[in-house]
Amino acid sequence: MGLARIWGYALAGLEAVPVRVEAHVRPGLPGITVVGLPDAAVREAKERVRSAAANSGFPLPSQRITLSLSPGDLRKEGPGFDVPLALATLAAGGHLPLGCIDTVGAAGELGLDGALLGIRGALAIAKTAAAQGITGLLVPAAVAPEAWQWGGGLKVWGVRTLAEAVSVLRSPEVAAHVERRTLRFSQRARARAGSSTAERLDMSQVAGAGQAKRGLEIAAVGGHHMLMLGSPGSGKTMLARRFPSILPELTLEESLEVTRIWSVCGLHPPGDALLRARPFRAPHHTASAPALVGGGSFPRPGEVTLAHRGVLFLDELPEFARDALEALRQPLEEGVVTIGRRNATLNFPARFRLIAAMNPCPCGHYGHPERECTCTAAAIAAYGGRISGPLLDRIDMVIGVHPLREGFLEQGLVEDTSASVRVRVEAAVAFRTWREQQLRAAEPARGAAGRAESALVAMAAHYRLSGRARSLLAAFQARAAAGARAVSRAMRLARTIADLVQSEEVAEEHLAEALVLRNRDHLHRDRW
Amino acid sequence: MVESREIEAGLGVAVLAAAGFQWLLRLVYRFGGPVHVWESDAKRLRDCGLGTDRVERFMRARESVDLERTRARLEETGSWFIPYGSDLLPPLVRELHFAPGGLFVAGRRTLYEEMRLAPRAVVVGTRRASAYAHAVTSRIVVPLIARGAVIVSGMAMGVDTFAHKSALDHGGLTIAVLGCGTDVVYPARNRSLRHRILEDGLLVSEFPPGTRPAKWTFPLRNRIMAAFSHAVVVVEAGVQSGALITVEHALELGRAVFAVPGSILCEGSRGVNGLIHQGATPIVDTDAFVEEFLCATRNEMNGGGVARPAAVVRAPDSPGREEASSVAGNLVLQALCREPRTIDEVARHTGLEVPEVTQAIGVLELRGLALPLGPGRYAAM
Repeated sequence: MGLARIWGYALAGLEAVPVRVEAHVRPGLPGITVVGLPDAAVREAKERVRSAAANSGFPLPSQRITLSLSPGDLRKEGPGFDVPLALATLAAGGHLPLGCIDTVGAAGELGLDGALLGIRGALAIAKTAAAQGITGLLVPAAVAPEAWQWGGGLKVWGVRTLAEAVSVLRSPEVAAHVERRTLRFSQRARARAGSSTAERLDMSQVAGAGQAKRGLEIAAVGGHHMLMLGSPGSGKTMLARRFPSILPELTLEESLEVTRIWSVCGLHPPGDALLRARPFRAPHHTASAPALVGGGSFPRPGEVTLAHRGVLFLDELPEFARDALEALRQPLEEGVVTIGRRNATLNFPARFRLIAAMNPCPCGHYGHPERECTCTAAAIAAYGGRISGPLLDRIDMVIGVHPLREGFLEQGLVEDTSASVRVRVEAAVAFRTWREQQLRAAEPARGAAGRAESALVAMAAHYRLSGRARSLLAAFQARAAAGARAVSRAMRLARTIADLVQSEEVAEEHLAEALVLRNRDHLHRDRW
Repeated sequence: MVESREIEAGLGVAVLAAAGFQWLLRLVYRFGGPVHVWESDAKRLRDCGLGTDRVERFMRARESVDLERTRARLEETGSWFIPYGSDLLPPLVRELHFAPGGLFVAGRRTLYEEMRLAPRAVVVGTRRASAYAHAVTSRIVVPLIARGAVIVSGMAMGVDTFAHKSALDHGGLTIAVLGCGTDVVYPARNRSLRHRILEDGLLVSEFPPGTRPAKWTFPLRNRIMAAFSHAVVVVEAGVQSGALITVEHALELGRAVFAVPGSILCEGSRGVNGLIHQGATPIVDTDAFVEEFLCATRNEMNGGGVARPAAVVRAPDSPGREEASSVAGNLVLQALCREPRTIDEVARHTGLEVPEVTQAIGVLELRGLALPLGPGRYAAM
């Protein structure tokens, strides 16, 4: 009888924070008290702990049990504390040798029968646990493969019941056995994840739309954002859904990042090891600003963070609420979302590719070769005007998607498959990485001289513009009176296009293509 | 030299006509000028069959009207008044049966001189313009500008706006005939266009400064437009379109009417196709049209000559004469000449790859040889 300690984990944003869980059994009126800012779900744990312990054959002593969670000023949320609370109580109640769980971490929800149920954020917890350097982490078997992926020398025990957890802690033999079992399961789950990327959606299923496909390919290489403009039924959604199939595979590092986010949000299916497919998120246009960028009093990541390293598809862009669209500006530019709250400011990663789609006018038929548009000029302009200038500025490509003209399907066009596009994309990305390394190596040599150059000249040198490309750029600036952001964005786009043909120099034709893809006139802002 | 009597009478008629005495305009032509209307006594008016109380009301209004204020307002807004009797008015304005007391003009005076001697084409059409209408408007306006013509239109949304903009974009002279005072911004969306026209064109109205647009002002405006023209071009018009009113006035004044054929399936083209059915000249080829137009004007102007023979600042040449600098550019330009096309369509027609076409269009666009039209479509200039 006495005092026992174990580690538990609270989720704050995308990170897990270690929480000391203590149990003290002392004489007094029988009862359990939980202190240390527990939320309702944590407070309810005492009922589950009592029943689960009894049903696992470990009756709790009829004495006063005090459970404490520290640091005391951190709000603890969710049912993940059931297991550490139960184990600490059992240790304090004499069912486990005292002191044997001091350097063990545990997380999981309990059923009344003593079964361990899955929790959110297993990967985040494993990351924190590995950094702590504890002896081992006890998690429900359902999420063990996920927790195991973190590696970092962390021992992971995936257990199914409270009784099994107790025997793992009591006997080294059982512990070793459970550890091997977890390893086997996890490796199998990982292999399964690798093979499931073979998808049914393929670019070759979309006929025509060559320019839009080209835009997607460029977006895939350079991480650019793109807006598709076209009548209903022209294939905008089909194209967007197939975009992930041409993206390069997630690296292990990226995969861990994405899995951690999805798992914290409770979207990672239990039993799966890692997410290998790029995320594709398509929130409905009624989504609110917090739903898109994240928020809430326990801040949760929004759609942009779920789309991290993947694709955010916004269909019917002008139908989204204005404040929701404006909230996208920060993540579009910086790749992170900052959410400020009274007690903390959280940063959620949000490096996604935005693919947006919209009709050219309210009725959708403006510019359609056969259908008649019934909108007034003012209505068309107002429709395009719902997308604010600053937001549009951050979208690199505006591309018209057109319905196929009749008789086109019979011509039997051969379209590129996603696999062949992906080969090109991956080659371009590899070239880009190599080029950037070269650039970084050469940078210090230019450093001092570079300071005197005007920003534009420096940029031209950075992007390696050819002479003819420079004169084209000058012509563009003179004609369009283009601002600095427009110019630098156009150059970035041109750089990506040059990467696609693995050219170290940005030539005239690359810049010319970039200027066409960036052209916003299609939205009729001031044309009429 | 115009007498001050003439100016005063003209101003008076214009102010009162805008204030509800529209019947005055019917008398201007009949009496041979606003002076005779303005200074006529009650008996003469009654002899014309006007009711006693109408005449009474006119007499009272004539006494109380404050022309000084109108003059001050003119001064303030930087516009000026050309009375009915002035030689500066296009002669046809005096031929109108419902003639104005004079015209209010805003803009640079030197441009007005230039405009008076140049051939003038009215380009009008629906406010609900299709992408096709926009494509055609610029294709018609640009060669006209290149030959020194002035583009007259009504600054309404749609075809009118696009006609003005294409003219300005290509260094041409344009006149907006308004259904409100020259100092009133209408439609509000065209605020910046109005500024551009004040710089490089003219605003014309028969309504004194401060007159708000009303339902009845626009049909009146259309007859002034017709009187300014040597020919009228209707780009796209439904059966209810105001452009048809302009055509009626133009026919009364003996002007040539050209019409751009539209799809017979489109409700919005019914009016313009009807014109062709009734005998308007269909525009089948823009070059031929421009020749025909200039021919008609030259006769009209008694060999007075074209004032601005291609004195155009940035007029791009038609694709027949201008060569794109690359092989791909030429192929693309040829494909775009036939009709506005998407990049995908051009790629299909030329056999080039999509990126090649896009690159060629980028260069062509910067050189003013191709222009974007509607979502993702391009046309050759």
